[in-house]
Amino acid sequence: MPDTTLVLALEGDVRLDQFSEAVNHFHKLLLQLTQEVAADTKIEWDLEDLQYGSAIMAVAGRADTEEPVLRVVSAFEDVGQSLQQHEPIPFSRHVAREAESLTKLIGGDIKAVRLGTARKEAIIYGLFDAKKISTAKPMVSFGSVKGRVQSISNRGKLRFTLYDAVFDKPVSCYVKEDRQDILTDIWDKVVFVSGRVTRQPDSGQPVSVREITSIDFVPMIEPGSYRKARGILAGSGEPEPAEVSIRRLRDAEN
Amino acid sequence: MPKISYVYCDANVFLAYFNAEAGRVTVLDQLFEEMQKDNQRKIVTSVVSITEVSHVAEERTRNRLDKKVYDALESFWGDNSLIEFVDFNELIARQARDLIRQAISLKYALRTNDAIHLTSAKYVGVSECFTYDHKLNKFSSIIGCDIREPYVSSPKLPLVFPDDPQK
Repeated sequence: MPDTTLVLALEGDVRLDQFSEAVNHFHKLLLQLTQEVAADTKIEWDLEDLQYGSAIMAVAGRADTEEPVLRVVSAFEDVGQSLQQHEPIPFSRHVAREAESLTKLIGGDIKAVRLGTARKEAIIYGLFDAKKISTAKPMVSFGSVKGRVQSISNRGKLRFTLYDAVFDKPVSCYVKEDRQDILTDIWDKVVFVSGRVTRQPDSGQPVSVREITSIDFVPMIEPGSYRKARGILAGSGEPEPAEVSIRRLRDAEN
Repeated sequence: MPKISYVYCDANVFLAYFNAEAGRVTVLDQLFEEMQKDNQRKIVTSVVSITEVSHVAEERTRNRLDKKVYDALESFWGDNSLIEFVDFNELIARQARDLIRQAISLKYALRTNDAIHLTSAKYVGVSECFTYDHKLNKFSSIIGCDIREPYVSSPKLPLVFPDDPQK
C-alpha cells in the first residue's frame, strides 16, 4: 500500500493559536487540492501523529481507491516545492491562498514551515525572504541520526518519529514496506537511524530520514560510567600535555 | 520543555582527563560531575574527538591498546548522561571549509580538524568552548562564544580516587 502520509511541521517555538491557525489552513489546502485533482472522490484524512518540539502533524488519506489520494499527495508535494522555490503555485488561487496563508505564520518564534510526504520535503522560510531563496533547498546526504524513538505508525505505511539527541527535535523517519522487520522493538529506545538524511539548510538540524538502511541500538551505559576512563592512559608512553599530543596529530595530517 | 545548554569540549580536554594530568584532572572531575548532575547542561563534542583520542592512545601504547583501556574509553564516550556528539555532516563540512578560508584571509593557520571542532561548536550554539590549546582562543569572535581552558566557578578540594596515578 503506498504511503499517503502528509506532514505539516512548524519549526520553532509554537503557540497553540498559531498551531490552530496552521491546521485550519492545512485542512483547507487539502480540501481545495482534493476538489481540483480528485473531485469525484471522498477522501478522509486521518490524524496519524502529533509531536511537540517543533509542532508536527501527520495525516494520511483514506478513500475507496488509492489513486485519487495519491493525486492529492502529489499535488501537495507540488505546492510544497513551489513555496520552497518561491515559484508560482500551479493550482487555483484558492489553493494558492491557503498555501500562502501557511507561510504567513513564519516570523517571530516560527522559523519555518515544513510540508512533507514519504517522498519529498519542502522547507519554507517565508514568502518574501529573498535572502534565503538561493539557499533554501534542504540539504540531503547519506548519514545517520541518533535519537530516541517516540512514536511508530505501521497502519499500512511505516513511519516513526525520532527525537534527535542533540536538538531534541522530532525527525520523521520513513521505512520502506519491505523493511518492516527493522521496526521491531525500537519504541522508546535510543538508536542510530541511517539513510538519506534531510537537514534544514540554515541550522543543519535533521528533519527527516528516508530510504532507511539500518537502525542500530545505542548501547545503554550506566550514567557515571565515564569515571572509569579517568587516568586510563596515564603512565603509558611519554608524558606530554594533551594539547601537545593532539596538536602533533592535527599538524601532521595537513 | 527547557532547552539543554551545551558546552563544547575539544579532544584535548578528554585526553587530559584520560591522562589524569596534574592540575587539570581535578577541575575536570568537578566540571564533569556538575555537568552530569545538571539536566539542563551537557558536554558536546565532534565525533572526530573519538578518533583523535584513540589515535593518541594507540600511539602511546605502540598499537597495543588493551581491552581494558578500550572498554574504559567506550564507557566514557557512551555515557549519555555527560556527553553528546555532533556528527560530521555536509553542513559542517561546508562551514569548516569556509572557516579555513576565512582564517587564511586573516593570516591564521587553521587545520582541518581544528576547523571541524570550531564549526561543530558553532553548529550546536554552545555557550562556551573548552580547549587547552590556546592557539584556538583567537577564533572566539568568529565562532561567537568564549574559547578558553575548562574551569569551574567554585573549585572544590581534589576528589580522592583509588589508584589515582597522580598521587
